[in-house]
Amino acid sequence: MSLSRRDLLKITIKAGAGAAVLSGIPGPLLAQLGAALPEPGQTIRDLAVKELALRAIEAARDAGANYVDVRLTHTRQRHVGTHDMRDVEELVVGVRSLVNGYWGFAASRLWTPDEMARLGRESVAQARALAIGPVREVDLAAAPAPVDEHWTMPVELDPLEDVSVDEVSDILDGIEYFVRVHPAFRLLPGSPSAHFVVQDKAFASSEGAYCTQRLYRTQGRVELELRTREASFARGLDTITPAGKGWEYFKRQPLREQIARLMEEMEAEAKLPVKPVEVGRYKVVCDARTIVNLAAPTLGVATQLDRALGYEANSGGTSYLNDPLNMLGSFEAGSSLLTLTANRSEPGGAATVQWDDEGVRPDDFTIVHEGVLQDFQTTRESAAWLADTYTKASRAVRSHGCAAAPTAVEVPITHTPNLRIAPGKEALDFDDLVAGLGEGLAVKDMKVDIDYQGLNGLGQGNVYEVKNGKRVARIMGAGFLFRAPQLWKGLVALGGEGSLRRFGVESSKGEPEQVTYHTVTAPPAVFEEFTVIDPKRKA
Amino acid sequence: MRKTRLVSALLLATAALMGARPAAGQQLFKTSRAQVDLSTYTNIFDCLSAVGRVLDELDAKEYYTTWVWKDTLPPDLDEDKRHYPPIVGETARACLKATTEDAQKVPIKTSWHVLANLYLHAGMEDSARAVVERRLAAVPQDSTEVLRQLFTDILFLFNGQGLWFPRISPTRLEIADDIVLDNVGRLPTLDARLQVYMQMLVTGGEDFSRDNERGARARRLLARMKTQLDSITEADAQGLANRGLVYDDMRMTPEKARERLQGMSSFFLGRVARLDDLRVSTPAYSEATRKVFSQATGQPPEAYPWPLGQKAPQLEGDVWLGCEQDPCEAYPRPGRISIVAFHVPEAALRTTTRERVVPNLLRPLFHEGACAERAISLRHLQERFPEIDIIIVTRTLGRYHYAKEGVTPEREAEFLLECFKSHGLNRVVISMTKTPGWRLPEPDGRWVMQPFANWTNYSFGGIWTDPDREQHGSDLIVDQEGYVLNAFVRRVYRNSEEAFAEIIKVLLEREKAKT
Amino acid sequence: MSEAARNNGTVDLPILSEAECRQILERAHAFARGGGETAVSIKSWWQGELRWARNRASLASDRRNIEVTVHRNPGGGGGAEVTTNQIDDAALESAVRAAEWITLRRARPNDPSFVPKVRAYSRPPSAPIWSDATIGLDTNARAEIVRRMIAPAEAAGLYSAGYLEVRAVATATYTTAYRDLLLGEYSSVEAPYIRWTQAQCSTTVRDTTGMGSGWAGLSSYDWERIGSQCDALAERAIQKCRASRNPVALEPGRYTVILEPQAVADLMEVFMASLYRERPESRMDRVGGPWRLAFDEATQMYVTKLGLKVVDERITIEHDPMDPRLGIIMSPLERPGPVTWIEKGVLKRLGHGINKAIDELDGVNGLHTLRRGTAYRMSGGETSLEEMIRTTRRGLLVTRFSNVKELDNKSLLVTGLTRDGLWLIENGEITKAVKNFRFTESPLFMLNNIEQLGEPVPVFRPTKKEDGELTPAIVPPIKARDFSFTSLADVV
Repeated sequence: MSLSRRDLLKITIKAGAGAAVLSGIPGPLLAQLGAALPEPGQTIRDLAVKELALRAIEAARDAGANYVDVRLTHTRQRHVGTHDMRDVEELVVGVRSLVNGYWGFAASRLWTPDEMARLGRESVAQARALAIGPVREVDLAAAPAPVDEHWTMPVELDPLEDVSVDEVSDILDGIEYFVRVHPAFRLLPGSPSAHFVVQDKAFASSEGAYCTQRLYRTQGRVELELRTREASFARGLDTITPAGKGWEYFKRQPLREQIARLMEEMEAEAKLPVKPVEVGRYKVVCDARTIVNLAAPTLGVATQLDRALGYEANSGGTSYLNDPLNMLGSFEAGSSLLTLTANRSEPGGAATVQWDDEGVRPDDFTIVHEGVLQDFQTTRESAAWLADTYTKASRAVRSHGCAAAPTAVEVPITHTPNLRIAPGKEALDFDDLVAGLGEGLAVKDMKVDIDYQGLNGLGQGNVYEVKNGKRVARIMGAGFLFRAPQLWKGLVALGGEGSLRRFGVESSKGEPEQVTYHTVTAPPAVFEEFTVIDPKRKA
Repeated sequence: MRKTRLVSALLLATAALMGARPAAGQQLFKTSRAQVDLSTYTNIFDCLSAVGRVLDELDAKEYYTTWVWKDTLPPDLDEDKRHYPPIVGETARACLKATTEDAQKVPIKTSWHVLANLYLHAGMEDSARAVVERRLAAVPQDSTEVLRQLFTDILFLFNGQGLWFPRISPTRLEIADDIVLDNVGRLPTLDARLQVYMQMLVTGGEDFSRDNERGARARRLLARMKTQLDSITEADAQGLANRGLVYDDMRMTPEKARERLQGMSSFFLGRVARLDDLRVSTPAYSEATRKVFSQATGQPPEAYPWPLGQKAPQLEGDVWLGCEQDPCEAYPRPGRISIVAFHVPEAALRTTTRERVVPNLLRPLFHEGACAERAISLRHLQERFPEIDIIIVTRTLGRYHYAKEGVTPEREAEFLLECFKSHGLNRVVISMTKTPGWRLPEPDGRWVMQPFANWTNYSFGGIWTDPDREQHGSDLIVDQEGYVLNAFVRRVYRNSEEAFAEIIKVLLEREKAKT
Repeated sequence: MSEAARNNGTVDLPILSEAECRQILERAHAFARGGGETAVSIKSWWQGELRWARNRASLASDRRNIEVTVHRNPGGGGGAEVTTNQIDDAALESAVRAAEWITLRRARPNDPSFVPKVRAYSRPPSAPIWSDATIGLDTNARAEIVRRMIAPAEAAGLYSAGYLEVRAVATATYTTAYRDLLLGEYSSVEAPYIRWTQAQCSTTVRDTTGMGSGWAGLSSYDWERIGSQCDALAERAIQKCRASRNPVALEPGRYTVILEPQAVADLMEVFMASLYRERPESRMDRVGGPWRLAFDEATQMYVTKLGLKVVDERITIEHDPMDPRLGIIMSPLERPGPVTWIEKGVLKRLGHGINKAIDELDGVNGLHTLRRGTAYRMSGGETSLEEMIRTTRRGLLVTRFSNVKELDNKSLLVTGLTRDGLWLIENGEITKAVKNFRFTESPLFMLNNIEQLGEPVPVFRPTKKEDGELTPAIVPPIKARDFSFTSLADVV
């Protein structure tokens, strides 16, 4: 039962009638009056959505596409601040066609049969315009097609359906009250706030794949400023970074205790004496957040195969892994302590899905094993570029399922999956590592500027001088200069399993630019030699 | 929450009409079916915000259903005796039930205020009291300042002065009094103790001359202070110098101290009585008032910080509107009672109301000249005393709201008149003066304002602060002979109308008596 | 077009027409309950895109979307917003309902950000910002151009990558003023319907070993101004790629630099941004920026550098919205006509928002915003690039900067990297390619150490966001002394 233009007409007429009835009720408050409760709809699972998808595939096929896939996304967002709230709802559809090795893509906001057909044809027209050029080989790595499967990301509390806005605002206002009884602290503007995204997504391909998913993302902001005679600085709560979770992310975490702890840390920090930076080379202990911020823009970006091969050369740049096919299995990406794995399966991961935007079931894979580069982030097209390498290593040629896009109106490209840096054997945490360091520096929450090959970085964070195993002073204006491979080769110690921390990270890529989220898990770690400079000092 | 269900249902209705058609796909902003489940709350701060939210919603709901803006109603002198609707208490109790554990473990030092506030909303006065006493018990013996600050916070809390927290109602000042009086003895010096009494006194309001609870309470407190002073020694007296109720006076003696207190009492309790002096003449009233002021403070009578009994200067204005006589410049008119209302045009762009939830409906009016709030109170006075003149004294802004082309002083005055009239203040005189100022040299070109005549004249050599330094200007009464009178409050607003009315009433009676 | 067609939106227009936008407001307002105000902000965009890499087009696409934000304000003042991209009756009504519902529970009265209602002024005039050539460049034409750009690179055994995009955008904000409440003369803040186009084309050519890289690009509202130059862009990128191979490492330090216009523009971003403050001189503004001096108790204002010489007297930075190359989307409240921020090195104006106008007793200048430095023309000189090189004993020629980030708000110190071509000049000649540097420098410093200026030309400055506004800039090449390169960045 696909929906025809005539049906839509009927709807419109009914709407008119309905509106007329409702307009009998006066007053804005009364306008909210009613009786029964609605059932939360999962319209994405409705057969009609599949009908729409197939309509597009059919049209593209008829127009001569060798391969077609379709995405429909229905995205709902809710932002709640202490003084504002915003709801956003968006329906979009994107059709991607392959004609003689060239990709065409067409997308719009209309979920109607006619529009599906138009988009199918348009995507082929787009591809055809390219296909009259020189030959281009595209060989999509085989992937088992899901058939009429649905997956809902397991969350405890659906942020839009299982929780009232009132509860959200109570918790945010509660945080505000709590900060107010601590006169030394104030909340920075825009915090506290909570942001929820619920995305229903359907995928269909001309290979017979059809699957639907409901994905969640929840994140928030709590940023405190401490003002005392000694110091004045701001810190954010780092336990509500983007995650594949629901309202439980707020509800089930002891936020108030976390804020209280943050306040204690800040007050303790404010008591430390302040020292200017002394440039030089230091042994440095980094907290988990810093390791995450270091890993994401270096290894996380450099191991995107499309980037490494120059497909992003004109925008974000390329990769220091500039000969990927020959580097696999041999390139030393870091010290033997470094093992980096990727997945889109971990519960609560910001990039976690059941199927990627090509209908591929992502596998967990190892990017760096004991310092040696093992693999790249791939899609069905880019996996095939590694076919020879894989075959030589007698590994299956398959996509790791890294195809993603924020919504269906954007074309899927390779985006970083969830990453995980394996912890060390010994059960050490940040403070243990500091204690073990003796003399040197410790850094928390380093923010990293990276170049266009993920190679040279400049980091700035909260830096401390460490003397006989204790943080004894705050170092002002220190910058950490590094080259990614040397940095990771200088890795000499890692925190243990118990010290692993997970953070949601935002990353952008492509032309036009796409912004996606993934999770990075890492322990605190020690680097043998970090070049410390004064970033504000000119040559 | 009720409303949650309501809206969802409505959306279902629409959904049923079209959203439910699968291909339409949307959730149509269907809001959550979930209701707040207070039993899942884990900390008292969330509980208090729940209470605050319920209060907000009640205000909003009241407005959106009645469309009545509280500030436009006549003053409600019993407001602080009113009980909130049951839902407020129920919310507090339900949430407290869920968070007993937290209520036990929160550090009392930082959280006592929140906890006590919550208990009071829940109607659990004893628990509130217990919390406050636990807090007080935790104060080390020697920390006088901490104690005094606590006393103030306690008084505010029980008096429904919420700081940032939801205000309690009805107020439970008597509980605070008990607690403070039980503990005031912990303050080492008589001086410190007397200051606490002062604090208690003013927390109860400013005018205790009426024969009501607050008046009785004030008398009790003053009596206590008196007993304290009866047994005062030379040494104690010395401690009082330059502090608290006794202002700059180098040598304080027990006698002086008692005299001050005497002055205080008559100052606070004798206002209505002194209105009898006003029946005689304004100078007499002024003299009497200044005398008690001097007695209470040890300052000379002329230091009295209100322009009471001054001769009102003639108002100047580049534009006059609404005059009933020629030439306009003769305002305030001899033989008439006038309210001279100083209106600060900038306030127009920043004014808000005192109600926690303003019906946004009226905010544009504020921005149309920020006249609404004041216009309404002035109207009330005019309705009671048709014969008084109301003169709005103001200066140009160079534009009105967002009108920017061709806003002459005339036009600006018309806009303002329009605004006051639209709030039913029909007989009003506008005195509009071009704002004097100068422009920084180009390219900077910014405008630097200068003080101007009316406001300088009416500051009487600094006794009275320039309205420009007040957020919302100020209002003075000028009697038939042109003497300035004040009503213990700077501005006419909902809760100060009465004080203004009292004085005007006397002035009118006085005139009648003469004829 | 028929009601139904409009409702289910199947009419095939790439962007919404003015009539359609009005329609959306009227239909939304018809659903509103209890009077008050209904406002809708509408954004509608279409893009045709073509990406290529490794000498092959990797994607051709055609995309469009809209964003309708419904603001329901039963009272006035605060009020809540709800955003949808569907405009059938069901979607609009539910959006209106949701907005009313949110207003009821979340709108706070004393929202400090609340700005009083603005009457519906018309937009001040600007040069054309709509080009049929841009929206008319169909996918076949785009593909043909790109093939032409790829061919020479491929022939030269190099890898060409790039991006070509044509875009059309329409926006409007309409509202129903609750006239019963107003004195008649004003309605709420409105932004009349306006539509514009943007075109961009840029290419990066790398050698197959990744040892050399060259870039060139142009953007404009009008494809006509780019199309004719695509071959030249491709050629320049190829030249730069070739010439940048096998770079040598130089010591970090201070060098005389010849900054090509794109490099100047990259460096000027932070400078231009600093010319705008919501309240440049009032207490309210916590961020001082480079233009603020001490607070003057007498005037109760901050003393600024307005009227002071802040950069080389050869530098004038202005914007004339009537300049056919500098048309922008003028906001209704914006001060019309040209703006001169810097005249002969002297700071003449700072852009500001509406709040400043409210704070300031400034009836004379009227109530307006002064635009941000998003579009600008920077004065230049006579010296050609060749001449600059010929007259340089030792220095560096910079193609462009990348990953530029502000380090200090007061001095405008920024750090970033050189990209896609950096060469050593010795005794008036380009002698060798140089490995890229991280630099740490302030545009203020650079603009005070100018040696020579060239002819200002349009640079590559498109907005990324699909509904982003136009930000054209005309910038000269500059030769400046003592530019600070702080570390080697062995990156291509």
